[in-house]
Amino acid sequence: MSESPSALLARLRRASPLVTRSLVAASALGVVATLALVVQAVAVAGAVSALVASRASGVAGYLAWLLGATLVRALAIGASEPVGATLAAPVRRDLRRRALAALVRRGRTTTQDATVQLLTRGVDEVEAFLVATVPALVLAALAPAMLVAYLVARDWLSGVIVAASALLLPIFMWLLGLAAKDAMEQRWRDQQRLAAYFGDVVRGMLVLKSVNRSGDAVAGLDAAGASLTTSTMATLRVAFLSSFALELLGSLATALVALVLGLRLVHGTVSLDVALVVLLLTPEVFVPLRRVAAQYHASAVGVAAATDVLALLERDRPGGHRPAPTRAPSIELVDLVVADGITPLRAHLEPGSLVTVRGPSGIGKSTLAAVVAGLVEPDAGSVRVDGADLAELDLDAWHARVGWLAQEPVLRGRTVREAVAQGRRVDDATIRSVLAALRLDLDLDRPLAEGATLSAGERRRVALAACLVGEPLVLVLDEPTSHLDAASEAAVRSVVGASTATRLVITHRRFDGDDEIVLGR
Amino acid sequence: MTALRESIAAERPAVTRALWAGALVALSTVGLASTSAWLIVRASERPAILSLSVPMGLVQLFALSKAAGRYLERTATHRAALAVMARVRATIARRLEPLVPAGLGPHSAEVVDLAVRDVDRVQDLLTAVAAPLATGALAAFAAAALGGALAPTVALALVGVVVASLAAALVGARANASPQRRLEEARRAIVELVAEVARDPQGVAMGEGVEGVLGRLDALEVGGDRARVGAGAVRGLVAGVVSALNGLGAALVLVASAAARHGHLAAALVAVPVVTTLAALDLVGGVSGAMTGWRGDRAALARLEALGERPVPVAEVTAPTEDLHGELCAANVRVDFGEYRALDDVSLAVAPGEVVVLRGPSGSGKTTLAWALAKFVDPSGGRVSLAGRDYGELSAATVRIGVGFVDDAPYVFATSLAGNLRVVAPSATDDELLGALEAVGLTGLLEPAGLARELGAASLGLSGGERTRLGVARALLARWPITVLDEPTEGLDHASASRVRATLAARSEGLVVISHREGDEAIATRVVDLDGGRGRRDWGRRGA
Repeated sequence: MSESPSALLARLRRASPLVTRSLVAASALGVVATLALVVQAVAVAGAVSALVASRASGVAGYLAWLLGATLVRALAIGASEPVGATLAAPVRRDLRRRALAALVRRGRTTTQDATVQLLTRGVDEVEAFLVATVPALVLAALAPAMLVAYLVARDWLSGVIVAASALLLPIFMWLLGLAAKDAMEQRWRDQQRLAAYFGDVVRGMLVLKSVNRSGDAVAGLDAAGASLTTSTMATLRVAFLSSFALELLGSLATALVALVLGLRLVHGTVSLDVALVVLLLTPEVFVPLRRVAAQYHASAVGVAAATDVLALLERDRPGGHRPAPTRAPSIELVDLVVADGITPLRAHLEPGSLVTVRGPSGIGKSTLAAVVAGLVEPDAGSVRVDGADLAELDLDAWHARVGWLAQEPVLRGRTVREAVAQGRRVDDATIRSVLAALRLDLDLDRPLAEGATLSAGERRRVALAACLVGEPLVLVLDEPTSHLDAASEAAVRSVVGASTATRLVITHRRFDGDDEIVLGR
Repeated sequence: MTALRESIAAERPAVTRALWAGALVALSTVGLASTSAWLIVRASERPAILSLSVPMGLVQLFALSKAAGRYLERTATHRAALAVMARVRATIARRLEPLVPAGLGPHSAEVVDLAVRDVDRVQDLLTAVAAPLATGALAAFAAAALGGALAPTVALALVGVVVASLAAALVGARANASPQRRLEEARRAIVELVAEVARDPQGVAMGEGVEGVLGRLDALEVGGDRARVGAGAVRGLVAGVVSALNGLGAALVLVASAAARHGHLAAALVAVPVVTTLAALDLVGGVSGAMTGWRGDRAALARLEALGERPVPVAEVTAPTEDLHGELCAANVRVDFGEYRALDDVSLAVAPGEVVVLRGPSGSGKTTLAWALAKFVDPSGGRVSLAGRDYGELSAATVRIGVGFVDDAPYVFATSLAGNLRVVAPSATDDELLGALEAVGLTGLLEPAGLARELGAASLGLSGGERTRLGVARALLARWPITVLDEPTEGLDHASASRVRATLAARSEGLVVISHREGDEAIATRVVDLDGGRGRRDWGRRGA
């Protein structure tokens, strides 16, 4: 099971200092609204007492208090939504920013779909948790305590009765909770199952139709609906028991307070206006508690989402603060191990030199490239850039100075121009000249939306062009000449050979270099 | 809203029970408030204790019936909503069935997704809006009747406040529509950005860099924030106005009571109208927040209704189901979607044992042709035939025994790996399933739970390449005489693609392979290039 909302909140507050601010504001508004509610009750009770005593003159004063308190309460309630939304917005932005940065720096831990879900809906759910669930929890603790304290002060006996019922509640809920918590989760799952079954049938309709089973599946929905309704209701009946307990305690407390007050009024041991105030405020003690029960599921969703988002944030590795090099650096591999069972690597790349990497397939050549590019941490050993450990460098700056060609490059952008420029400010002439050097004559506006429009060799060279236009100080190229014909390969070799950057080239073809690293076991 | 109305009518007993339970809550709430108010004020007149036994008994009775009513109401409401929604789901599935895939436009998966979410919204409409609204209205009515009996002006004040509250909620719902729409747009844009990064985080790190991506994210969040603050302001305004109206209602009822007190209203009854009013308004007030989303729910209902009005892409043919084997032939086929001509004058034939690779730029109508071959859409010109028999005289069931279609994003059902394969071959043995997984290189999915491994929503899901291969595995198991495969090597690495090609080439059935991946033509006995009859688009000359 995931952690409790309060423990999670503590972690969220550590993760984002803005969380505290929005909590304080939400609580303050809740306190104001509760105080206004007390004034409303006192005013109504006063007005009624005056009417009973036929003191019509007193009523006007109480009405003024009632209207004043109403205005304050309306403002506090009305403000809590926009204030909550405004204060939670920076928290959400901050979380999503850092989650996205962590994703870029550390890569995915799960599937693409799940990652997208986490960073979009997941972060929104954390925000909803902060805007709706947490204030409801805070108010559930604050408002009943304030109201009970006021009741005790006005009429201790009634106060004690209400307090006793309110205190019974958690015990009651705890007892029920043993059964109901599972039932609550079961209820959620069951409702999800009903919806999921439908979703499965309609989303998978094409598959079902292709084997002539869609008719059966649609007809099956009726039967499944009926049977799932029955099984869901069985769990719902248990799940709703806890809300029944809440209602029962609430209305019994109101009844008990009314009966005791009635008897004491007859004996003249309590005044009418105190009795009325108590009667009006007693049900209000239970309102926030009911709201919390209604938030049960939202809370579970929010906790789960926040846990996942925080896990992503905690993986982030912004690197050190040592500035990245400003000219082609030397790179030294010190007892570097990038995959299980390979011999630790020792190599030295002079500034501006070209070193090729060879080795059997699957030995970890691409991982070595990713380690040098600063995308993956080595299993052991280190990469030293101009003598400094890569881990101590400002990694974002290092990435900006490294041109990295992946083994299977993904082109990003709508057109060839965008794929080469990669968000950098590069003029068309530069792009054209780099492409021309790689023997590519492409319309810069050519769309890339579908893979159909570029051959594998063209894609590889466009990706290489994207590495080169950034004028990198280091080039890490994973198989730059695969999928290329002889003429294009020669062009790539001459462009890479002419570069002044420090170059690490993984290749299984011939490539003239200053030195060669051979990976082996 | 016929689907919803008919479903509600069909579940009338359950809906009626829910309404009765709501009425019990409403009456108990009003009863508890009014009897306790009466009890207290009457007691303060210090009568003989025995004379208070009736109100005292009533207070206890109402307290119990209120709690019991709440429980009954919640269970009855959910029971009714579940039953109604089961019917709505079945109706919507029945409407979607003939439309998938060709009748839903170019983004059919999104249309279906939206329909699933819309159905959930309709359920919220029933449990979060309609049911509480009914209970609140009943309570207000009971309170107004009771108050009106004591002093007519009390009823007037109460009804006025309730009407004003609901009007405020409706106005709020209207004002909320525009920020809500802008918020959805901002959300969609963020999803696109995150998806772009998630596809290749390392490439982003090395190319655009963290700062560049964050800059784009910030720009999108600003738009979302403005919409959020707008929506929050509207909701806050509604909540504030409703709260103010409750206080105002209490004040008005007090004034009315004061006037009545001068007339005939007994002192013991003075507190009854105001306490009852506050209790009833409490029930109404809860609904107003939920009603702010009301327009969105109505739009969801309207979209579901519109599904029923879409033209069905395949005319129904009543003919006995036959098991036909033979050549699949498309001659001069033309397909129109309304004004849009997706395919013009295309011919293609494939016999059992042949592998036809169908190529063409995106938008050239490859998938549309596949739909026509699988009788998912009727051609508006030309003819498609199987074993010499025209599709016009064959039922869809007959065609799909002879011709199978696997789309380019095969759906993963929320069930086991075995279930996901048996969906096309219910009688396949475990060994056959394992053989199919082996043939497409998907045995990795057997970790850790074997064929029982849960896929779909509950698990982490499958990668694009794994889904593609799951589709090919299904095609192997379904053993259609002729199979049309849409992009069976999409998203696969070199080794996996080769393996899938080798598996396909070894089949004795007929195959139409839609592809834009180089290398797939290696397994072809024939290659067909599709220009869609709309002219080949030339994106510069091909690289050397």
